[in-house]
Amino acid sequence: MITGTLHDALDRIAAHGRDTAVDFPSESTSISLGELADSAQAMARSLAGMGVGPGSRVGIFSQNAPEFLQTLFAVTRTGAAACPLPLPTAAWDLAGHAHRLARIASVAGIRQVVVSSRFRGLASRFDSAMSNVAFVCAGDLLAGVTPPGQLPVVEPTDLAIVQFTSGSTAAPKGVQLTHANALAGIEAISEGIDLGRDGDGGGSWLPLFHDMGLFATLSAIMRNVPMTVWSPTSFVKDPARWLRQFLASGATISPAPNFGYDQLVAAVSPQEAASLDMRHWRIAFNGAEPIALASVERFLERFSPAGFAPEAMFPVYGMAEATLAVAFPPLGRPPVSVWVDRERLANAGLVQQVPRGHPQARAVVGVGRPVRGVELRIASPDAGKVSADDQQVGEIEIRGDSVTPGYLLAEGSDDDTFTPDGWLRTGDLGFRLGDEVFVTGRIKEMIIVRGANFYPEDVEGIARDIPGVFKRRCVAVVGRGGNGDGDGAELITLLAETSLDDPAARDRLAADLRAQVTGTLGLSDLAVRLLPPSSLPRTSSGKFQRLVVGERTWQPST
Amino acid sequence: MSANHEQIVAVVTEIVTGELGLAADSVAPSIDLRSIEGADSVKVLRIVSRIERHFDVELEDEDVFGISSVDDIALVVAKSLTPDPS
Repeated sequence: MITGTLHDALDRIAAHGRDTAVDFPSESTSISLGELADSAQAMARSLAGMGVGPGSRVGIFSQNAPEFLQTLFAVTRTGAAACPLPLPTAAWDLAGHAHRLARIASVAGIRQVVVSSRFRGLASRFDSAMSNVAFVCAGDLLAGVTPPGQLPVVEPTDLAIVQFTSGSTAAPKGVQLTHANALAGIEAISEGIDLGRDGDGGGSWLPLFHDMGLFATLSAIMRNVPMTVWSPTSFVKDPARWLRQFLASGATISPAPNFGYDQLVAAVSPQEAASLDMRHWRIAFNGAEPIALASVERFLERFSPAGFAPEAMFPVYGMAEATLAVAFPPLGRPPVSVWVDRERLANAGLVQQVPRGHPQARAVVGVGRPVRGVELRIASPDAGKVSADDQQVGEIEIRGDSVTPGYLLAEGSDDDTFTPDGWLRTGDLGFRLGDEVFVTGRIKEMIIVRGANFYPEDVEGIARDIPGVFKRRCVAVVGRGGNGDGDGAELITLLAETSLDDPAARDRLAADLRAQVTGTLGLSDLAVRLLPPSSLPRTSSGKFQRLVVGERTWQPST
Repeated sequence: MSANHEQIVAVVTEIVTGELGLAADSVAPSIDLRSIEGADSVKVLRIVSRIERHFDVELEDEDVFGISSVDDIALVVAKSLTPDPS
């Protein structure tokens, strides 16, 4: 069990694994754990010399590069908390991004943002939107251009990281993690996959500012396991090339959201797949967004000829609020799933298993059991009662060593994060069958239409496979009908992206969508709006910002 | 390798329209690519990837973040083709 602080843990690991390295192929560089520990120490003194210390919160604005990790450990060493900041993606509106960062900085009370050398120019374009924040170049801190300051004693109960999650509401929420939380979370991940077996290596293309990318990397570091960190763009630009590089690196473990596995299937032909050797890929984490059984099955079908083992596909459940991991499958087990009656699930919150081909059948992929140090319970929809019934869907509640003590919130926000008896409300819905946890959706995404409940995930799940929908992109939101006076019945509006521009083809698509969704779900009415590709926002984890979309005014087409 | 701005614009336009399935003359160099149906951020990265292979250059992420038109891409390409003065 690792104890103490993140930086003490790094020092201890580096003392006997100095030469173990984190490689950054997209940056053509790498850093050994020895260098990481030493440079973070020097950088911490520079930060302390600038007045950073206990109680400070320091932003990190860096691509996947050594400077990200150096800054993280340097900031915690000063007694301050590190706030990884999201980066813009290509073609993102930079002004909008500056606004998002400014809100995070304001909620977190960030005064300094450490910027990687490469992003110095980019960050200067945020200056006007973030006038209260000083941008400091990581390179200058490493070179020690400021007079060094003294480093305090940091306690395990001090704040180490504030993680700004995907943000599906207008006000950003920062998940606070103490050193003890983060180390417990790392331990839970490591034990759950027996990290550190002979020959283990990690490989990730996820951004380090995202909880899954960050804690995958930190877990490898703390177990003295070599790690390779690509840039997200290198994966997106050419998934097949990334796969070849990943396999050639000898890495055995990699995390990705569900869509990453779809991208690999789309990019690698069956012939190409058969020529690969994937036998050493031991854990392919599939998390951070809803797991689609179809994606899992397509991936296994495409890559099993290359020796990819079914049990290597590892569907997991986690969240930044629990550092990362909440539930993992047992090692060595292929993915499991159940088919349940979607109407009973949505309307009564009951799990009724049906055969795969049943017209109401919906697949739910199992995510295993709670990881070390995390307890999980399914709350009853009736407030205050905990369900003893395995067949009941309820809100997933968790507590444990790796779970946040609470959010940093914008002033005036309500905080109903915890139950009166101290469990964190995840906002996710799920059920248990035996020991296995299944996640079915989110509470706030449930739609009540004329007294019946519908999951927008279900509407989307049907709509996205209909030909004409651009890249399976659609979002279902709830609103009210009528003349905008707010007293009409609740109505689902399906927003679907399409690249069709022939009016007749668009009409056909809208009609198809309406017919398929209402027919399959028994939903009486559905408004459909077709949008150009890329009009729907996505969060950094790839989930659509359903709530943001829902807050906009989407008048149903008349 | 040397190429002037017009030549780069021509090649970039060809790659952009090819990737988006559009007629070669339908994209003016100054048009905001985000206004074109089908030009999402994944598509833009795939375009960048093809441009990199064509010119045998590597475009920096921080340059790619800000691009919104064929002209912008051509400038980034030109920059990467210019020998570093340092």
